Amino acid sequence: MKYKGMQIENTFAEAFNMKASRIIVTADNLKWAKNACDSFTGFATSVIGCGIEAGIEKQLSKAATPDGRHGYSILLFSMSRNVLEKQLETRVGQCILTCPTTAVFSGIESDDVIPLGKNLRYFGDGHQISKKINKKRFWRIPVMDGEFLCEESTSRVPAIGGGNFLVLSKNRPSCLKACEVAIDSIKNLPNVITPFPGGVVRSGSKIGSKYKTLIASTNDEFCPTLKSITKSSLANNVNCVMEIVINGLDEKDISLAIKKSIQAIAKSNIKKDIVSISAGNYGGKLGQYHFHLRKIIK
Amino acid sequence: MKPVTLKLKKKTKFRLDMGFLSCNPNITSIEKLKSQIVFNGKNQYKVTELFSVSGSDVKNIFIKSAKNIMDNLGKDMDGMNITVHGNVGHSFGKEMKSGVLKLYGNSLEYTASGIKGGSLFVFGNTGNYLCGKPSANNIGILDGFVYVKGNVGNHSIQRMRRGNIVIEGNIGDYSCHQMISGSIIIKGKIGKNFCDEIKRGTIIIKDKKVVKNYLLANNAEVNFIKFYLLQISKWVGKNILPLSKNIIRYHGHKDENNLCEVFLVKN
Repeated sequence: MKYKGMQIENTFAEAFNMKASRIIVTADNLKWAKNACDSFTGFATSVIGCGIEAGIEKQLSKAATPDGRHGYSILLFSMSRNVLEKQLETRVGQCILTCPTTAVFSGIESDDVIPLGKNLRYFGDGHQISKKINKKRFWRIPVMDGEFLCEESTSRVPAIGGGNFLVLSKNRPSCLKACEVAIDSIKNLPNVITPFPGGVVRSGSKIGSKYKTLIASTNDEFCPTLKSITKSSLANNVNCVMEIVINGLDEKDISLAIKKSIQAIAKSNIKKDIVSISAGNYGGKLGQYHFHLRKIIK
Repeated sequence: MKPVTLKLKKKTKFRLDMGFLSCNPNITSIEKLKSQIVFNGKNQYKVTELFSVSGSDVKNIFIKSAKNIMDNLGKDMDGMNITVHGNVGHSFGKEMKSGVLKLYGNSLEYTASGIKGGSLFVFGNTGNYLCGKPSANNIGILDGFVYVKGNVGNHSIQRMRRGNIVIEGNIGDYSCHQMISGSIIIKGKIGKNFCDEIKRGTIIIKDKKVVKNYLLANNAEVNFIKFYLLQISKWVGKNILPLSKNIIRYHGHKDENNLCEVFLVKN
């Protein structure tokens, strides 16, 4: 199938059930809110090695934050509740509590409540103050720049992780440029994040390895340098492949993000160097969700 | 479904216990409400004999032309909305648990006494013992939000445990006695013996005579105050105090051993 002159492969992305939470980080200005968020979402690219996948969802205006300051919302995804709880607490404690002028609030509501500042309050060493406002409890922890305000808990909701598509290109600069165009188009899209650096993955993986201790290894089927020696899925003129991984709160969000990204690439001048758009899957046996590219783009 | 509207049609000199509107869990339909028995002096009446009744949603009630003989309105209220136009009697919103109770008028003593949750708005004045201790309880306000647009009488806010109170007018003598925790905003003047035997809590005031007994804390940025005022303005629907005003923080009493926090808003 051709979409605006760009080949869309007849394949699908395979995604998994995950659990997600959202927090809102505010600070005196955007610079420090961003610093806190960058620190929080650092080393949170894949559950394989990082425990959680996290990313900045969008920038929030002053009117959209609970304390009327600049802020960002962060989405974080994990396979298990315990890991999500632990990672949230650790990262808020080490990355947001430590960052000047910041405050942190819950950004999502459901019946499944997980702690946010509940245990961090002990950092106040008895000087912490509890405030209950509109059925929500907040903690005021004295710190050296004044006080750190945090909500006691946030919520956990079902979500989907691993939605993706692959950009197959003639060369590396055009592939990277196409990915940048795609990421820019979904930058402030609600309910989705792209957890990898800059939103792009170059080291797509397959399950398993020749080495028994590894659970994942390089996706040789899509490695251009291995075309001549492995069973490759790449055409002769493909010399670079990059992947965009999208996590979202539901199927619609991810489908919309994939659609917008591909549309953005197809609209740009860079499409002349793009050979095709494909997707990563495991034969459809592992993931609970299948995102068929052609259906989405129709 | 249309909200139930009640209007008193029978003149009476005795006090009316209106607690049946919110206390009786058996009132699930308009028929049951209409046949409810109300005590008035030594007489008993059906609701329809005392009130003109219209509408059918018994969880949303409007009371028109209320009189100050109506006691216990919104008592023990849980998950209801009651709006009252006119003046009401004693114990308005006593021990309410959740829901929204609005009064466009004045109330007598023990308004919001022992309130446990929900939001109570009085767009008028209240008598003594606002959030006072109910007879069978030692806590004046356990949780919830109370807003009074006008003035408040003496002995108000006793043993406040939690919750949020906003008073736009003045408050009488002996108020905030034995406050344990919670947050209070008072925009008007404050009477004698304010905050006696207080333990903790946050008080935001404009009357500077209170702060002479408290220790000046610092000029550090307190993230909470802006956040709190924003939340209150969302609740009330208007800015209670301008955020741009200079706010000075006092923390701890000079003589007593308490951890009360006072924010003085400079005029």
